[in-house]
Amino acid sequence: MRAAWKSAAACATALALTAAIGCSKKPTEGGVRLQQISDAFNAAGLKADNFQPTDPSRFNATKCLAGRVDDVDTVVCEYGSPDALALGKKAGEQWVGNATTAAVLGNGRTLLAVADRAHTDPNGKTIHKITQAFTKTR
Amino acid sequence: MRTRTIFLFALIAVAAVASRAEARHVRFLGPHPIAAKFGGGYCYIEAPHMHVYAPDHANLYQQVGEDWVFTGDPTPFGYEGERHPFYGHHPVIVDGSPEPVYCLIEGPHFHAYAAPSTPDYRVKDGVAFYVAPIPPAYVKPARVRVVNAEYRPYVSFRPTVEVAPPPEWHGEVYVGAPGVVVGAPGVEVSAPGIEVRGPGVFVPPPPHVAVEVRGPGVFVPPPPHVVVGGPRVVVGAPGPVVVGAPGPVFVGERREGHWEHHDNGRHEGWGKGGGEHGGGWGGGHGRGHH
Repeated sequence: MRAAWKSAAACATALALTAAIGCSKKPTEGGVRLQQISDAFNAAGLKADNFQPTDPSRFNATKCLAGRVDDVDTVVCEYGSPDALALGKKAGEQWVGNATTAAVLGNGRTLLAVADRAHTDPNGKTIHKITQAFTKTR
Repeated sequence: MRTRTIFLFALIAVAAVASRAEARHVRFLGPHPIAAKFGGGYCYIEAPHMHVYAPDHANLYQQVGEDWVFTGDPTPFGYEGERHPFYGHHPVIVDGSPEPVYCLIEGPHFHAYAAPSTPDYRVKDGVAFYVAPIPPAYVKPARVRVVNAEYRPYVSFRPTVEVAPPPEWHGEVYVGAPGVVVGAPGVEVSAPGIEVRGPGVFVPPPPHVAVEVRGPGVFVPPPPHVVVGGPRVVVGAPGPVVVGAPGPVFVGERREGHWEHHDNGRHEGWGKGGGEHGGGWGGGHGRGHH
């Protein structure tokens, strides 16, 4: 009986620690990375289709992936330095071309470029969801 | 002569192609109405973003650098969602703006955001009054006039507010439409044939009407407004208007809103359709450049 209580107490402590670590999530050292953006999009319920590596040199990046998120053209890139990210934003603005609606944002070491070329998101609710998930990632 | 004509046509064609290629996006910060020729309605993107169109109602925006920030009431523009009543001028809640942005709508109106819980606001019966001073640079009379003229066609979208402003509030009491009653101590105004009673009341000289013509459209400034001394009262439109002593407080809305739940479908995880990327993005397909 006593052993069972001890075991229960140990489990409770472990749960409390896990919760504490989860609640006090610190910003990632060195800035947000692509994997975290992927996780954030997953958590936001966004559906990514056909994401493939794309030429990172076009965006001055070290790594880029392009595809569609909820039917909106999307590119995400990772950078080695903030200066490279600044250059990447300019390249992202060229990539969006003449899309009716577009956004190019940076967060940590990552870049997000979204472009609604097919006018599938007329009121921007999907792009809002994507950009919100991206900018809130820490 | 023929060669010259061909050359001229070629030059025009090149210029047309060049201007098309240089079509620039217009930058927006925060949600805003969508231009009518692009379908109208409301754009809900809060982050900095771009569109191929410029704002339809430029007077309801404040320009911050290259960005347009919509400062008006979203209700008339197809906005669907939570709304919070404000009264008079106040700062606009917008993320990422390098400078303050102000809403200059007089009287009751809605915004999609609630007033922050700071001493700068007094919230009376659900209506937010901004009681802190606003830098004069942002409240130039000409700008206030233009903003409220732009908003006048949408007067029916205003919330019905019957509330005595808090004493620390220094704005103007707005009387916008016939039959509206606004609490103000010791002043009674009626129009047309304005009758004013009350202690220390100042009635300014008759208002003037100016007509400004701009090609090709015609712009007619808003109807004249009457300012009565004491607590300042602005009569925004002609009609029987009564401004009485502070009375019962009533806050109502002409239209009920709700947040539109936006669910883009079930979460199916990364890489569906992408084959090899099923486990996420961090897979290291990049080329080093640094």
